[in-house]
Amino acid sequence: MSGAAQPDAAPALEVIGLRKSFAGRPVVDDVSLSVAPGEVLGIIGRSGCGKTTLLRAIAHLDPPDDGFVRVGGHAFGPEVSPAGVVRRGWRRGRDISRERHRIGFVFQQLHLWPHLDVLGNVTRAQSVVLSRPAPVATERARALLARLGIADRAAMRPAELSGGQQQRVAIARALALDPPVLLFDEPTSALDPELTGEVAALLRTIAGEGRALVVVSHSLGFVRRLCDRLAFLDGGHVVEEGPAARLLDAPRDPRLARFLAALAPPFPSPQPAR
Amino acid sequence: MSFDPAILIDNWPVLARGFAVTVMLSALAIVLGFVMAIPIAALKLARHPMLRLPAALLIEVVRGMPFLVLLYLLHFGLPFFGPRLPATVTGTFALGLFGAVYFAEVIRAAVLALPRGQMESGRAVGMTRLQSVRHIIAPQLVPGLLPPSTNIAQMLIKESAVLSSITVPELTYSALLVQGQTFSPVEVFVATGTLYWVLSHALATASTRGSRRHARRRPQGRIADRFLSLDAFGPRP
Repeated sequence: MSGAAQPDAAPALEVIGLRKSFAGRPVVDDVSLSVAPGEVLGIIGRSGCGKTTLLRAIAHLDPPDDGFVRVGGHAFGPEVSPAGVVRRGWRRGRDISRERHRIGFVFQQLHLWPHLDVLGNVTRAQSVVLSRPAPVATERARALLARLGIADRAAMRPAELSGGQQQRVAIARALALDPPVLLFDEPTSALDPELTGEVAALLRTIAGEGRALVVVSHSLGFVRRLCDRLAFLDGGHVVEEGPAARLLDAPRDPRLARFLAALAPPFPSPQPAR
Repeated sequence: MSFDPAILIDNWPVLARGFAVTVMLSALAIVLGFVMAIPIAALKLARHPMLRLPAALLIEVVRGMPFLVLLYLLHFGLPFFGPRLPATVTGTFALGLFGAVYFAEVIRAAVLALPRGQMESGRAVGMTRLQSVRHIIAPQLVPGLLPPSTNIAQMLIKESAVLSSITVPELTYSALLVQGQTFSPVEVFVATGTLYWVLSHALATASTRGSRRHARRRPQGRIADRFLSLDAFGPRP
């Protein structure tokens, strides 16, 4: 499962001491993570444990209250602490927008742009953010769409696509900027089980190109197929972290054990109906 | 009773000048109204109630009074607080303000009708807030904004006739002058009404063209598309 991971390489994504509160209530509480290029880290936990907030704080969609993020060894946003902002490796006044293309974010609800066709969805950020000339952006987009198996949908609007195809567009939109790090929020929540397997294979390939992936998911089957490592989040803390198979098969923390038991209850084999 | 075109032929320069003033001050009021509407709508959409309050108050007050009263209030009331401005200036401003509160509600509705997360998805791919508005938000607002804004613009063109009551030399005022000299109300006001119609119809045509160009292809298909547009009833005879 960990074929492409290069754990010895410098981490593509480092998250150090990240905290985020809403209305005084800590939602993400001192989370530190590190993901190597080619590695897929899964984040599991109950609803409301801070998974999505953590992902959004990493991408600075909701700027963290404390801690900091590094992508490829470079600061991604200023380091913050309760004492104030420490601009370690971060020029004062620098706009985080200029850095965001280094972290791809695929939303749970995808948030595709309905007024643009599929090609427009994949090229627009390339031209606006990276100033790529239109032919270059289009070529890149077409290559991505072909790889994701939706080349024939390029002229369609998102609303004309199926859920699985829409998701591929969202992935293509994020990949078009060549981010070394990709964050996925519940990528399988809208897909049927068959597609779930396809998405796992697809994400595996994307990671195989040397990108670091962080995937938030509820589906244990999905994370088992996809992830090299897992982090179990509870109450905003990383309670347990380690190789995926180890966490799923031999959880050490009782909270993780309870969580796994609740998701995959050991039902007895169904009795034939009389 | 007869219709004497000679009266119009003799007096056309007066009417033409009035028409030109009407075109210019309506256009100015529409642009001014739309520009003023943007901050009003932004305030009305704000999270904090203290920001929403002034916008809501302004909208309620202006919408709740006849345009003539608003016009009198500004034209005769403002000189108590500052210099007396020319009637054309206060008139155009009053018309713009009157339009602004309606435009503001239309803008607010269009923004609320946006699918969720659009701004954020722009930010997530590295666009600045301004770039997100320009490339993601604004293009999606246009189709929803154009038809109701056209209605408001047409309303403003027609309400501009009220400015005649403070002696702004626009079309209706000119018509009154001609009527006073010729005692031919039918000729004069048929011509005047036709000129307002021409202006208002030209605007509607331009708007329909514009919204066709911006029309989003809808997944429902051609039939639904036809019935969601004005073409469902076939070309006009």
